[in-house]
Amino acid sequence: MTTLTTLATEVRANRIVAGVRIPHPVGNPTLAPDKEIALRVAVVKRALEVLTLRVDGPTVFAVDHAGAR
Amino acid sequence: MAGMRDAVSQNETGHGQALGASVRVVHYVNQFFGGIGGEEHADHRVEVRAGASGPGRAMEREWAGAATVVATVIAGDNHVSTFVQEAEAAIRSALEAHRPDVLIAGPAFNAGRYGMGCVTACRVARSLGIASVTAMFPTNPALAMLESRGLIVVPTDETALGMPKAAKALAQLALRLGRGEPIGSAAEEGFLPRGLRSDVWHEQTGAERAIALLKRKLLGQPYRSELAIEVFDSVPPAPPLARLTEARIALVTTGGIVPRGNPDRLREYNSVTWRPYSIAGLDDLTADAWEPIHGGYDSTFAREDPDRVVPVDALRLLERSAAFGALDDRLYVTVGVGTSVGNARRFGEEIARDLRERDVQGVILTAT
Repeated sequence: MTTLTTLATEVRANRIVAGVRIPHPVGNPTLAPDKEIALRVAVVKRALEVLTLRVDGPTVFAVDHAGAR
Repeated sequence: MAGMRDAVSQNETGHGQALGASVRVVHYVNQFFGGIGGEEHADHRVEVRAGASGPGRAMEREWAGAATVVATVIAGDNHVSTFVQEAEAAIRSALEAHRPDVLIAGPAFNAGRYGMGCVTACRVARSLGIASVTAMFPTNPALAMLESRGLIVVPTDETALGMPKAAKALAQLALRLGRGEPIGSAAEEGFLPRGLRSDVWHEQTGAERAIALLKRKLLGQPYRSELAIEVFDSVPPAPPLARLTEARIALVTTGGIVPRGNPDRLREYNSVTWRPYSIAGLDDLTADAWEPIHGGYDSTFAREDPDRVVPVDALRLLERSAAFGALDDRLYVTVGVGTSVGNARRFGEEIARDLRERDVQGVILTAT
């Protein structure tokens, strides 16, 4: 999980989940605490889901959640 | 000024012999080039014969007395790639018995098992402080093995048609290695890059060299960068997790979140190691117990809440709702900033070994 998805693709990571921002890939300090934890759960849930998907090479997965990107 | 290049370290070239004496060579070959036979003899155990055989004779003609093959170590391709430890032990006793100035292995061309035998022989020589050199086709599968890193490998053609050229190149380099002469960089000497950097003194500063390089580029003249562009490994994707609800998941981060006070003194930059930390029983990473020590991003937000980089809190919630099996007790931490690709590759290999031992099926790695 990283915000630098282009870099991750270049170094050939296979399953890449887009992070929020470089200093907080799985958080968003602009959100209220309850909203931020909801965001983090959504992002991590996406990562878990991606582990169950077949990929053929470096693939970037977006997270569909408010404040995720 | 210190520049960087791939050069042979002192301990590899420090074993020269007396001036004028013939360099003592031990030559490693497979059953075919050793004259024992073809594939039907691939199980042949390590055998040591006095003097040169096969390509060793061509090299002796090249040396014209300057070096001598004192013994040829012959091993079957299947044997050496299947019973590695047994083969290693036999090669070690041959080297201890004959005490060569240099070991030559191959050339193996594009033969994978033979290439593995050559790599094994060179590794044994290195462990005994004996200089070594081998030769093979640059994409020989043996060169993908971790063990082949750092060895001097002369590139050859794909097949034995390239023998005369390969034997000559091996003979010349081996003679100099055996004499303990200094060896230049991979680019200067024509062997395959080993991914090594060493400090060298240069009469010009880095700024002067950079300007000179830029000038050559602008004038359309040939130029060569002092730093090679990294080529990254392509790793086949792991198969998808079949049963997420039973899977053990571990957290790995390059974001440098460590127990407060950084007890293991992990570096903030140019990391040389990684550490596992226990997160057993923790519901989240609190700011009083954990802190970011990464020297490459604004750590304000991670200092307020380390879960923004390592999402322990979210994973615990999902673990309780049975979204996956279990969160592993270990959090694997390193710092990804200015870290060399070589070190990063090693961290990955070491961490992966640990994960496998802990029966972890899936990993979430967060990177800043």
